[in-house]
Amino acid sequence: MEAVLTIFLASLLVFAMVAALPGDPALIILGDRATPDQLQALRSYLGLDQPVGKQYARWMGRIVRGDLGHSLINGIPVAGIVRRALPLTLQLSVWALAVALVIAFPAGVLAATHPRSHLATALGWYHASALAVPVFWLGVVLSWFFGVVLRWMPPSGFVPLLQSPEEWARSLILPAVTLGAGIGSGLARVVQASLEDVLHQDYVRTARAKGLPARGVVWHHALRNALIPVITVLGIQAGFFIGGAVITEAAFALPGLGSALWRAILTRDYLVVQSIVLVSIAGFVIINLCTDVLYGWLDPRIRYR
Amino acid sequence: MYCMGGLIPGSAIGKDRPPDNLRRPIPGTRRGLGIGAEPRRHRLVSLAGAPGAAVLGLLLLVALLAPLLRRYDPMRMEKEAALASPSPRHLMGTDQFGRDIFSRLMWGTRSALAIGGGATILAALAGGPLGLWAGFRGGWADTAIMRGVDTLLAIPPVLLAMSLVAVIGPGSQNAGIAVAVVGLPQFARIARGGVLAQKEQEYVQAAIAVGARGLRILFRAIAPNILSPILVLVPVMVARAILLEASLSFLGLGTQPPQPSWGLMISESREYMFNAPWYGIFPGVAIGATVLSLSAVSDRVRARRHGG
Repeated sequence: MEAVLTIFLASLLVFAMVAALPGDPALIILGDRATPDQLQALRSYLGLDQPVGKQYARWMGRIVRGDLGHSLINGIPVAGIVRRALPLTLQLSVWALAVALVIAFPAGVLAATHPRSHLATALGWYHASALAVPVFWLGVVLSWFFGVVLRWMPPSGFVPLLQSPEEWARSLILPAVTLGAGIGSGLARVVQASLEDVLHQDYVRTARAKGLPARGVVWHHALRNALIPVITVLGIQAGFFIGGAVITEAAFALPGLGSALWRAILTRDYLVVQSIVLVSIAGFVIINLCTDVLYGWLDPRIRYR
Repeated sequence: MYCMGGLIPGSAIGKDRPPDNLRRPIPGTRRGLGIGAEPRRHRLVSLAGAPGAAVLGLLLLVALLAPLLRRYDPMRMEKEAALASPSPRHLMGTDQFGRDIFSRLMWGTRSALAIGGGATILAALAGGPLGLWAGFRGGWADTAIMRGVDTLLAIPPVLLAMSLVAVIGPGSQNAGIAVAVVGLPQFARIARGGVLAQKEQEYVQAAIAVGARGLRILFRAIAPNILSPILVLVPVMVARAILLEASLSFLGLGTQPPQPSWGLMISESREYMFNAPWYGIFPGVAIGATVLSLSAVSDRVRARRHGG
């Protein structure tokens, strides 16, 4: 219910952004060189002659039926743009998530179990730099170092999986590390903090007292319970993930949803911007909904009203 | 974990912290119960507090004195010296037009701090009163304002900023406005939370008893008492604003050429990666140093407030 309301309010906002363009939206969207016929066609398509409420209802009605509108630049249906670009963005996200998890678990567990070690200090520096280094700069530096200096990977661009699996993997590694490193740091801190809390619970002490080795207690008993907050934070981090994906795609010239949005903004293709933003918000809200459900399922003590 | 407590509404995170006596290491041992003794979590940041403030001061000084410190006009082109490597003449080399990168970096400090700081002030001035009003009035006003705020929070920050720029147009000023809108909900939430906590305090009852009403209670009695949590938020928000503005400029949606801006410099440097790798490195280091110093200062302020 909450999720539906959020998507509804967000859609109002996205709709209002274009509806609130000062002056005649049709003129702003098409520019000065549009013919009166074109202007009239766009006005009636947007329903500009009708009350705002009705305009919104028509727009929403079309979107619910899967018609995301057409690009004003070249007339391509937006649904087609999304369908073509989304798989790449999903592939990038899965890779980046894998990178983030591979970083987060060892880093978080080691920092929690060895709180005063040099390793913990080093991880502290990693977290600090993950906080400070912009995603796009990391992308530029990685693509320079591994793509130009070492020539291990292509500095930018994308090769589809079906064309060449090996090239596909090579073209996605750098973007995945770029996007995953920052999120990995955030997750590692959650794993660490959550594990630290769990390690002080009575049952951990009992397990230690009856003679179980520390490693078994950490990995088998404690980590399981420490996982629950990690799932929630993963949902919250999804927002940074989506934003980071847009920037990463732009930095590595990957033809994903983020690049499509970026191009649409630069060419002032408002209807495409509107639809892609709405799709992304819906995706974000749905991810959060899923993590909430997963949360309740993993920990039966939590029940939603 | 407790630092996340306020961030995740309604979640169980941050509660149920074990009492402190369980978290401390057992005397004479280093590791308490054998695993996971209280870590020195703040060691890095508390050590970094003073240098953080020093770096921040230096950056502010550079921003203020950039016109005096510069050796070259950041806009002056010198075609024959294009893409020169760092040398005593050009400390950080030159860019594709032969402009001095060091001078442009100093000028970038100016615009980054101005836009980041300006956007944060704007966000605080818009979000703070909204939150105050929502918390104070309660009821419908509260529901409506906080619904709007939560909707803004439901949109990923980069996406929100990009779509706002798409509507109001690119440029450093508009990017600043977009960044301010992204920051607004944080201030509104903090202010509202503060009012809700203060409203039931005795001094507010006392103010009502002596006949103060409405806005007078809000601004004379309550507002001064919730100023400090709002101010604590400022350095972090400035850091985020600088990062977001740099991202927008990197995407070509913020500061426009030929104005110097860190994000834009990194974006432009990509074409010359083969010949002039240092070109993109320096602005990134500048962003990193700024954000780190701001968050070090913020952590220090926060620790002070909690008696650390």
